[in-house]
Amino acid sequence: MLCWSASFYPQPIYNYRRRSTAGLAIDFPTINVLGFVCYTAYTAAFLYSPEIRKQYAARHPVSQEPTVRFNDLAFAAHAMVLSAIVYSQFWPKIWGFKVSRYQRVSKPVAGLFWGSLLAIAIVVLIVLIKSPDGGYDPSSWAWIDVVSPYCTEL
Amino acid sequence: MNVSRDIADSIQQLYATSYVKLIITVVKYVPQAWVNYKRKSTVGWSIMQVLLDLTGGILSIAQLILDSSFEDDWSGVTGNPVKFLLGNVSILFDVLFVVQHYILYRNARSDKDNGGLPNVNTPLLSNSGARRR
Repeated sequence: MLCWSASFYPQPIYNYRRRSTAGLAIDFPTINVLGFVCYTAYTAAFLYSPEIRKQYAARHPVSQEPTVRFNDLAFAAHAMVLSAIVYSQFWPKIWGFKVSRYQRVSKPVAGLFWGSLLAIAIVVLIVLIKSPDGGYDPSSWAWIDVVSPYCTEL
Repeated sequence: MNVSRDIADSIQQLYATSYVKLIITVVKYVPQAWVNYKRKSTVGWSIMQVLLDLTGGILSIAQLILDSSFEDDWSGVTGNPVKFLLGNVSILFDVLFVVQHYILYRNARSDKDNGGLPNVNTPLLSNSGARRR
């Protein structure tokens, strides 16, 4: 866990020293930002949202306590901030770094990025339409379906 | 009845998400490997990040192996070895980046890396300083 957390620092520092992002594919930071925003939302919801915890307990009668811990949230939030910094380094207006005009997001990664957002939007819609009480009844589609499965694996 | 369905559901979900994770890991690392290949250089891609990620991955596997041996239950490793490896596919990419950095493109690293800006070695008609040499 420490190694994984530390692994987010060398790239932004390296970019800063070179004052450039040349040679770095933008795809990796792009998908990382989305992934860690989702992962942070997921851990925070499972730790601090009484509604999500209630729905989880209703769905998992055997082990009612989610396995998410505070250090998961700390890791996720930390990774989110560092990924966002690397992503921001591709914007010359913010950092003044040299960015090649060839550094664009590739089509598969762009598809994955927008596809993920679309998938989340679709689940939100399903919850709003299918749930009898606006997402609070855990036996039907509920808000836990938005935060739990789809977001966590980026 | 409800309990067994519960367990079946979570196993199902676990399988589904591990394939999603596999796809995303592959899709997010391939562009960088490709950029390195096209430039015949790993300049710009931090090798420290790769080494730390690799260390984290190896430690996490080591923990899994230790846990399995303490509980005398090796199903997490031997149950489906292909899935075990694919689940750690970022380790495979880390190894690829290490090979690119230290073996394939080791000559592309210059002591005076200036972030791809043109320098005295840059051909005058080159439109990309990053592709010098």
